[in-house]
Amino acid sequence: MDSDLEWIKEGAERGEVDAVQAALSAEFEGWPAAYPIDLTHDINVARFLRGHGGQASRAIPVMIGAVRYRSELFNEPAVRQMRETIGQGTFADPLHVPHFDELQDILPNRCVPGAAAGALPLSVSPIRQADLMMLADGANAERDAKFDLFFRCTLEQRALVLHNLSVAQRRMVKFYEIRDFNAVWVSELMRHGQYLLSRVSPA
Amino acid sequence: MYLERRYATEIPPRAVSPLEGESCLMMGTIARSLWARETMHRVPLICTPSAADLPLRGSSPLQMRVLMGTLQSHYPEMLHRVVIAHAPSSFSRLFSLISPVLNERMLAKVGWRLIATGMPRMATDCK
Repeated sequence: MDSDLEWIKEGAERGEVDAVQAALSAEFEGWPAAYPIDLTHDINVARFLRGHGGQASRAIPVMIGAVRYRSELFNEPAVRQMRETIGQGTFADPLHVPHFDELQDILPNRCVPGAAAGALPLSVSPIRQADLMMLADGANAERDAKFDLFFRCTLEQRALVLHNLSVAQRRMVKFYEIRDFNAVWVSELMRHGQYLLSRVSPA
Repeated sequence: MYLERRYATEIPPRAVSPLEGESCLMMGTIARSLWARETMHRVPLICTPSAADLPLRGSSPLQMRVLMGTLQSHYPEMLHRVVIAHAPSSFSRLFSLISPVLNERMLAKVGWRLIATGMPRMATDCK
């Protein structure tokens, strides 16, 4: 198994995991009991560590920011409802994500049960199905707000499901993503999105 | 076969055309090449907006940066690999515009297969 997918390595990671947990206890009142298990679990801490060179000193400030962000997000009724719906579930059903009905024809993600190598979850997106005209159609506050909630809920749903799978399989479950560019004209993508692309690039 | 069936049935009506049908078949082939086996138990697909979508959205640039930051800072190590299938030769140009908002670790997980040559490439090779 890929070492990135292993469960917490007791020898190499336990000390750093405990250091992060201690820092979070000092920072957040009621940690960990007052927070959702998928946020406080050692396997979630291990994700932050592996994403930051295995060093608690680097992971701590990032994870504190993440806990603040997600705690605030949990106050959003739509997020709370979605999390309750999923519960201990191991299937990330986009139907549970707010505004999916309206946005499914614009963002081309599709739900296909199955698994990639290593029995990891798989996300498949045929880019040609993106509604380019709609995506490039300038700023629209109402639609942007829907996109924003949709995006944040999708990430939250994914995190919760990956956590449930990780605990069930006792490994750090991650997912494969396939982006299908068949029948996609890059020039068309760039023409529709050029203005926004130029502005999203760092100054 | 399972994936091909599901893929074909779940794509919305507006997408159905001979081209789409062929494409779905090709996607099934690609997906199967990643398959260890036809799974005994079904593990879910996870629906993920990603960098390929975000720059084209109607969101403000500030919002997009915030969202990319959210993805990379608050939900680390969720993604194992990104495979860009059927990438046209000009894909590198598009990716060069997207890559500045991705961190090094995310970049290292992105690879694509060119449609013309079939040669695999990694995002990190294009920096």
